[in-house]
Amino acid sequence: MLSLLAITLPPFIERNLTLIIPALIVGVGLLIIGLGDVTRFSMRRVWAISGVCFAESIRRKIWLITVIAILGAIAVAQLQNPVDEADAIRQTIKFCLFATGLVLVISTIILACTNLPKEIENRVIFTIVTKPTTRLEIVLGKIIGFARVSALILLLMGAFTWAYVRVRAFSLQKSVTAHLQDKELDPAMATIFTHYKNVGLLQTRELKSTLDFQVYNRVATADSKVRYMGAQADGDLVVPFTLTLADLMSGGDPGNSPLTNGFGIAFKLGFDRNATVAPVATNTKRLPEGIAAPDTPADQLPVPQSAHVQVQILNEYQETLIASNLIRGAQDIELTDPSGQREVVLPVAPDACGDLIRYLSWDQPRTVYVQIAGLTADAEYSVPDDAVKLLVPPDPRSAIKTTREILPPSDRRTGKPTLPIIRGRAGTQGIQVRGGEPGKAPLAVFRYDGTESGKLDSLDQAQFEVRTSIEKTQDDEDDGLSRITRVQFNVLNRSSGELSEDVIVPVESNRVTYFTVPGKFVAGGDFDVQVRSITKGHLCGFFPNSLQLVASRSSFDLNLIKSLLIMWLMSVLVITAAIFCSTFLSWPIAVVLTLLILLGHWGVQQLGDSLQPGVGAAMAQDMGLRDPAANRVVSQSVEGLAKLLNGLAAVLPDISRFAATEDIEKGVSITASRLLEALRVLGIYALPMAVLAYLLLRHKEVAP
Amino acid sequence: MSNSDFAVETRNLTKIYTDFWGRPKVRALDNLNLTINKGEVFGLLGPNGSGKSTTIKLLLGLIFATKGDASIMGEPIGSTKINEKIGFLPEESYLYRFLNGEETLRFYGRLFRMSKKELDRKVPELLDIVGLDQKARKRKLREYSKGMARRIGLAQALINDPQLVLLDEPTTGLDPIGTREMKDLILSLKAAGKTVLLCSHLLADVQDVCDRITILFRGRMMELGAVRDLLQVKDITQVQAKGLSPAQIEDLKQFLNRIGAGSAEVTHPTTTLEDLFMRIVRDNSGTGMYTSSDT
Repeated sequence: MLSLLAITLPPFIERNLTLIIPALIVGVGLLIIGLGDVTRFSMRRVWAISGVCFAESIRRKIWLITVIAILGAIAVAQLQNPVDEADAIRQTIKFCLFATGLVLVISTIILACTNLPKEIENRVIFTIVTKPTTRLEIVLGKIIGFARVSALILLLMGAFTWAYVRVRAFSLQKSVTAHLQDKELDPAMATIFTHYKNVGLLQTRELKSTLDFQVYNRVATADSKVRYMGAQADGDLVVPFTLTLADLMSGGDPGNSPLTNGFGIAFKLGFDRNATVAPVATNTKRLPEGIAAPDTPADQLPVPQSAHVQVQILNEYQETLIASNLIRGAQDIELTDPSGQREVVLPVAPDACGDLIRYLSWDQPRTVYVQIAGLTADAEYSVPDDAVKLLVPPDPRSAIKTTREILPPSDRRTGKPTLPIIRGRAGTQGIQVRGGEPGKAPLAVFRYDGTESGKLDSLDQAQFEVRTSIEKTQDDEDDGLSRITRVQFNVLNRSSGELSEDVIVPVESNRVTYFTVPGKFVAGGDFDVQVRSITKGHLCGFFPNSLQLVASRSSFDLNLIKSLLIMWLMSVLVITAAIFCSTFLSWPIAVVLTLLILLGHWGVQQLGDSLQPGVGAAMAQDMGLRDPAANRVVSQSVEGLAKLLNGLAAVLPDISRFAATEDIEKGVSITASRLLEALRVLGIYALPMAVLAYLLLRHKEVAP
Repeated sequence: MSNSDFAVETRNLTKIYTDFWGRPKVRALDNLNLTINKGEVFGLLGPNGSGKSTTIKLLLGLIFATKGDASIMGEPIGSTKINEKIGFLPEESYLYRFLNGEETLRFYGRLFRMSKKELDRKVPELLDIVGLDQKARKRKLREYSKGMARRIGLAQALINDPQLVLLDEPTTGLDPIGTREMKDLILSLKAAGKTVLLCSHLLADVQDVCDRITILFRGRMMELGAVRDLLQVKDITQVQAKGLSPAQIEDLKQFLNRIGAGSAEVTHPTTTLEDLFMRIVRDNSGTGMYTSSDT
């Protein structure tokens, strides 16, 4: 429904619809319909009503539920199976805060949903509304009253969490010290335990990560205009394009249908087959008997003057929209210009564009990636910044003869086109960097731009945290010493041009490990962290957030307060939704509707791709419906349902915005933006719901 | 007489209850036209389902009129502003049962934005007036007897020193002493210039205290007027005399027959049961009897 509205609305209104609708409800509700009640508003009356709600909850011994939750949290904490001491603390915090959230939501929903219907049912409301109390004051009084109750619950549960976690941390710290005295301790674990000993288990730090994460075959020189990509499984590049169907309309197309003449992919890539590239894993020692290795040494063979690539189109989830065989049949694409000056243009036939057309829509831009994978094993590909563009040819029936070029979107900060993203081999555990000899192995580069490095430690060291998942190939067996995976880190300060010394750290799979570099290498905030696996045969998997800079450290207590504050804001939303529902429903139905309001957005999110446009047609196809009428009915019904659910999700609050626990569990400082986001969601949803509750109650006959 | 000279005025006030689909179900009140003067005690009488409670609920804004309108002290009903001048004692004590007597009055006082100082003065005063002692004041309302609950209900209705007091079945649940005290209180309110709208089906209570009454039946007003006028039997003459001997009574009978009085009766008048009860209690008040509020 919102999207239908948006079509006819001016762009400013369309952009701010989620703010304008609540503002309209609040404005009309209070300043037009309820102006009289607003002018008579008395905070003293509101506070008196809230006091009764609070007193009722206390005298009904609602706080007893916190005792049950505390016992539950302690019991569950005894059953935990942590990886190490920090994980034990993380799990303890998680259990305690989960119990806190559960108690908070359940108790506030029940209290707030039952209050008004019961007051109407037992007619206590008679003695309230016959006083000079406005319905606005009643609604606000009840919201504030139960917000006071939730604050009390949080105070009790927060005090327990604080005390229990502190006691656990104290006892686990002794265990860390005992580990470090073990002579046979794994070097990787020694690094981790030393870190725990130095900074404590209840750490709270602000982490900075970057989304700019690429895997190069080697580092480009400062004056180079290209970057280097590996081949075969070691490298590919993707270039994102943000498109609507309108972008792909052929010029002058009278049929008003996109891609009637297909489109083209134009790219420029250089290659070098003489470069000192990291050898791709082969094992000549294991050739079958009777097959000999070539007699001619490799360095004496003539250097071929071509290299091959493969191109395909992916959707935003990196799933194939147009496979390479639909673009070029069974043939690979041959590059013949090592300098990369010659542009290669690949026409994509209209027949191949079906999935792309279904994926794109007319009004909502979506991201499409052009992926180019290097196929020639010993080639190193050089990638210029403007490597790829899309071409939309004119319609042959039209007078327009110009081919339209679509460039990648510009970077908002620099205004330059988005650069190709060069990636390593993609695995289930992220992008993998193959292990090799120091100086020859491919490297992952995490690029930081304008990063506030914050306070360094007392030794002027910048601290990083890194987490990788390790996969060991057969090559590992060749080297008996390489059981421990070692990763080399270098930090390049792009402002000063200084490169740090090699920092070599033993790492454990899927465990956070720590390293430091002198602060001068991160000064100014523009720096690259280069990461190499220097253990042959060990593949290290990384995601963009696998490496993070510790920008600052703060107190756990403060973080706990912030976490509880976010929970409290969420509880106010829960209370408001519950009061709103209870103004027109009996309490059991009000409980159900409140849960629906709170979980509706999340529920629709869980359906994910299932609700994308085209789901109806896909379902009809899956059901094998050959009858056009039946096909249309199923297709349109499913499509309508998907639209309805999407519309519902658009107007319901997203409770995941109340991110109270995920940061504190990880020992990450909860930022002010988290609090502001929670406040924003509260403002957008709780204010209009409170006003609607007031308007409903204002027009409700409270005498049964 | 301007509108504001009436404490209550209704014009064609009608209430039709509907079902879920909005179809008329019950016509609870039908074109009620009523005026209640300031300073009078007005009785709203009728059997169950006659529209008494509906009238009260409409006046208090608990339900909304289907047709017609009404005003209280010149202000249209539905405005919370007029509630400043109203005190309401519902049919049963619909109060927060987890609060004690004192907390209850303080809560309702705060709804009138009374200061703490004002409440410190007013709350004990009211509790004294309705006869709740120190011990009862600190007990939760859920522990109150029905009579005590009526008393605290009355106290909350008077917390704001109202100009108009609406009492819905005020003597329900009260013992004869409480009933008498309630009636005395109503008369004292009248003496203080307050208007009282009394809704009851206990006719004796109404007769004792009301200046005017109306009788409703099936939502319609059947009678309206002063109690004395409505109850007067115009074709019967009553003569009262004190200390006549049996011979004198016999002479009186013969005299009445002689002048042609039809169906003449000479008997001793009876007192009311309430008066008898009150006399017994009063006579024995020094012998250790106590009211339920003392328990």
